[in-house]
Amino acid sequence: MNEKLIKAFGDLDDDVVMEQIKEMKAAGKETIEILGDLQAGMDVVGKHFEEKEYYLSELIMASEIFKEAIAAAGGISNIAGAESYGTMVLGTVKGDIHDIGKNIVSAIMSCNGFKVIDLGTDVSIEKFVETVKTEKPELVGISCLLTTNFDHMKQTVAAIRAAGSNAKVIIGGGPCNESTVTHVGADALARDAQDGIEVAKELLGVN
Amino acid sequence: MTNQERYDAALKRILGAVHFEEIDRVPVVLGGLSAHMLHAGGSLAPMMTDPMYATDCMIKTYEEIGLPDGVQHAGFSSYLLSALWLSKVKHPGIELPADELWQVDEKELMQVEDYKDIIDNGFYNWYNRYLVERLDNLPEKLVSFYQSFGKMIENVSAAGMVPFSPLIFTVPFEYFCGGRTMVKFSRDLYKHLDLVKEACAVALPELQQNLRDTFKGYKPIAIWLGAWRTASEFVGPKFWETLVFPYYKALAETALAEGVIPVFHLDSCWDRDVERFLDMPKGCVFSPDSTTDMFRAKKILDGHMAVMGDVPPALLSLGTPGEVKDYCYRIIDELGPKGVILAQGCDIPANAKIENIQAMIEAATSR
Repeated sequence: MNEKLIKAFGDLDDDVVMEQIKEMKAAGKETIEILGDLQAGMDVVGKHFEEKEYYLSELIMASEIFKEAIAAAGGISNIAGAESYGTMVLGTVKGDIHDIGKNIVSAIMSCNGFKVIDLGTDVSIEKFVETVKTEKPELVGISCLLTTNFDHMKQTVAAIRAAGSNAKVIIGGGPCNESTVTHVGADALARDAQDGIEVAKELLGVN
Repeated sequence: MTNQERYDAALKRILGAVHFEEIDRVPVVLGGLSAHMLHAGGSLAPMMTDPMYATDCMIKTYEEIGLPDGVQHAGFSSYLLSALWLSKVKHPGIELPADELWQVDEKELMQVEDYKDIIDNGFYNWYNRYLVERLDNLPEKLVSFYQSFGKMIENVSAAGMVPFSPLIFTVPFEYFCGGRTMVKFSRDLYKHLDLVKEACAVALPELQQNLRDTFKGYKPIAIWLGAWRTASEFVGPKFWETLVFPYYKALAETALAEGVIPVFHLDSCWDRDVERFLDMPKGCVFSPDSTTDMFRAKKILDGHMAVMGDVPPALLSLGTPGEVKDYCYRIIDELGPKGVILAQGCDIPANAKIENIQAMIEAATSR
């Protein structure tokens, strides 16, 4: 493990992170090895978040660093054989174009060992169903910022179930709470991106 | 009781709550007009061309279900959101179906170089150009709204309701975060902190002067100090203590010096920093959106700052009138009667059940 890189990532020092990646690449390190260090750095960020030393602005910065770092390391497509907890199909519900929360979830889940298929914003029920059928994900994440779209979320969850998918559905977004989970028939609520990781792992029975 | 007598009694009750005086009951002051537009007008789109539409629908709805003591806003146009967020907005009847709620379409319209422009040329010099050049000549779209503003206040008051906090102001952090996008702005905090700090510092005295100038034309009872992305949940303490708290405090002091009550309209979770509001001047209102623990906040701020809220929007959409009343009674009985105003958290959502809004009003007026 490159402890200097991990520490720099945990401190959100992107300049040092990028220097270290350059050095590792020059030393012939594989992308997958660099990814392991970046994920270890992300774990440090996650701990800071849980301990209320870091907040959303730090999570966003961390995911920005991760994106740049992984590109500099050779790109995500070069990481063959990387272990994954599972696949999540993710999108904002039909009628909702607010993508900030969804994008953070996408970045944070990707940095923490999940394969994320990000369908974007205002995702139709048909698109969710079609993707669930072809990709057979373990998880579906639906983001919703407007109470007016709760019923779209409910219809989406019902359609996913009707399509025969066993994917666990996690919902999140400003107005969502436990009663929303019940209303839409989802499996769980993610209070924020970091919580989403724990919820996803719990639903899949992995740690 | 005439509408004027009703207005006078409601105003006394609201001011009494703000200042921790003995009052007959907890006042109810509601905000958000979309559900009223859909209920009384069947659509949201007419708001885009008729500046009085939202006001008329709100008054009609409350005359049907019972009047609250006050309302947080006297009218609404979704164009206003662009002026606060520095982002484009998708509007009902224009980019969206007529009965669909407006949505902020956050894109990176502001660049890092804009901080320098603000530092060199002043905030409003830059802001006014921004509204014209990057927000499709926004001021022109707001002319009819501002021209009708006096009529909105007049009509709400004439109906017997207090137009409590009809103007919205906010801090530089919020403007910049909206214009840059949350991701880019979060990065700016790490990569361009000096520029952000300097631009915020340049903007503050101009924003304070804007408050004073605005109050010369119309002095409201209270104003919203909008706080969305500045929430403790979003911003780490080192940025919050330098770029958030001092700015809200300065605007609050400016408003209070002019005899206007600052209402901190607090979206998302502010639990971490509730104690810091003890360092705000007395006479403000703490108005969380149901994410912050208002019951804990009231204990901490008791005697210093009144609380206003916080019936969850999801409860107004999904709950029953009985459930809404139970939540309201909890606020009234556990937190009241001094220093409490019953309200929704954030805004009443567009799909709130009308009977649930009615339940809130009844809970306050019958207790």
